[in-house]
Amino acid sequence: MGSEGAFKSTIAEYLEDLPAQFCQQLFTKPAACLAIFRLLSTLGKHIIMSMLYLDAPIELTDVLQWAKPGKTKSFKSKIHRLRKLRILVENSGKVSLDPMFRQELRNALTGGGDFGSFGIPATTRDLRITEAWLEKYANEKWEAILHFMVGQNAEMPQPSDSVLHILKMSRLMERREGDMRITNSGFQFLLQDVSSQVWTVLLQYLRLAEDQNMDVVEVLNFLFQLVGLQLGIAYRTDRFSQSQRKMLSELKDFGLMYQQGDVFYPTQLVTSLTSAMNAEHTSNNGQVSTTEMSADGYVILETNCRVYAYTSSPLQIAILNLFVHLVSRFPNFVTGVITRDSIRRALSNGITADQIVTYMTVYAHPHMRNQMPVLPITVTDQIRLWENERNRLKPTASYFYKDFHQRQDFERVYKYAEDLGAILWCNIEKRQIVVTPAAHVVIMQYVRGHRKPEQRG
Amino acid sequence: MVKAVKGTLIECDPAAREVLLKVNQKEKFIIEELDSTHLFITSSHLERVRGVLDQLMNDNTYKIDTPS
Repeated sequence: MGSEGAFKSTIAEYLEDLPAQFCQQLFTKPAACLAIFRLLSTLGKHIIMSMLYLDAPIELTDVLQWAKPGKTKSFKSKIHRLRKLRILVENSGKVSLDPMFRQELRNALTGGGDFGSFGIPATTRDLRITEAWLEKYANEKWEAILHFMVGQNAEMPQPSDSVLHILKMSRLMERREGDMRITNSGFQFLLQDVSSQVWTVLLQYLRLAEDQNMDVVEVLNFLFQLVGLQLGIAYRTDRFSQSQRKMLSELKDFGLMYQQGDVFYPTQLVTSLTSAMNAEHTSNNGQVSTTEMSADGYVILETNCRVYAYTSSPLQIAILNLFVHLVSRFPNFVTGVITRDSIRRALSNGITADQIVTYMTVYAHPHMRNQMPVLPITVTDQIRLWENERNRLKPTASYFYKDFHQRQDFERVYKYAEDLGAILWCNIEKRQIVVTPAAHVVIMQYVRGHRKPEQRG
Repeated sequence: MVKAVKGTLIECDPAAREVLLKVNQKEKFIIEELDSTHLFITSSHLERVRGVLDQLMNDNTYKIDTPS
């Protein structure tokens, strides 16, 4: 699974874990139905589309006939997933779409049903707010948060309290010695693409809403409504409920939308979340496919460990600074060198060698991409070697048994410890065993219990 | 009579093992040399041994001159 896939599946997992009645309430909104539909894989969409205009349930065996020969297994698992999401209902061997879901998805696709479900466009709008402006605004907001996480720029204004709270709740940052410090998972978060990052934050927001006893269905519905909005269009807020306004003002701080009086403009951070484009880019194996590579790659890595990065973004420079020893900065690019110390610093911060390699692969300069593999093997190998070097000693607290007088004694204890699965190391010739501390007490009792009868006999 | 000793089992590569054996000449902490990749040592010395090993590896690493 690619990182994006992992996060998409978490939103799916989140939905799967919802109680049945919540799902039913969720399905009453066309926007939610459409958003869920868009989150599914191509195969899932295909199954739903085939059944969308069937009013009567059909035999499960007939549905399985739709699968290509040899693909029945993945088809079956897909159907299982849909049933877990409660989109598909099975009744005595026959399956159908959930009636509510079926009706509302039809509404969503044909534009019928509840008018306000996809947001109410405002009649008046500020003409200065264009798509390009919104994009810039959102990027600035989002990068300011990421930049705050990297924590290199003291004069940057602090994000709002709700942002700080979510960063802290999701353990991306933690308070240490009075300051907010980035955590291990925070570093991993930084190296992901933007849409996975937004999903992570939104999921965390949902969990937070649960803790605050907010109506989860309402929050979910609102999120799905936002996700279905169109970039560059103004929407009215006057019909929003109190809690929806609250959510709006909290999500605003992440740059997910721009608010101006009674109207708000969603930004591309939220509108592109469920777009099919992203889904296609997700690779199913852990490898970074060429399509997954960012269009704006900027890193050149040479075999001598030198790094040249064509960027002027303070954020990208700050991220590179996590694992590169930066040497000089020019108006449009920075140079640096990957050294043992710079990598060790990153490793001690909890970043893994794989994350470093993946990041540089994803953001490789277009010129680098003609090579296969993209990054010089000498450097990637060296980074991994430096990682291994840190774990040269593998210590385990344990007990060491020696000086067994008789072979039978040794074999009995050995057998007993083996049954417990407690043996860490052993040498049968020398009659020595090393066992886990947990098993030590039990084994000693066993040894004592057996010694007595021997002494008698 | 069986003897049980409390301590820490260390799994390491043979090179690291040699370093540990050298350190052991000065201050005894190895209870038993098990085989070429395993040692059994007193738990209290673990952090110190780690530091010594790290220091030694650092001294023996070729460093690229950082361009100024």
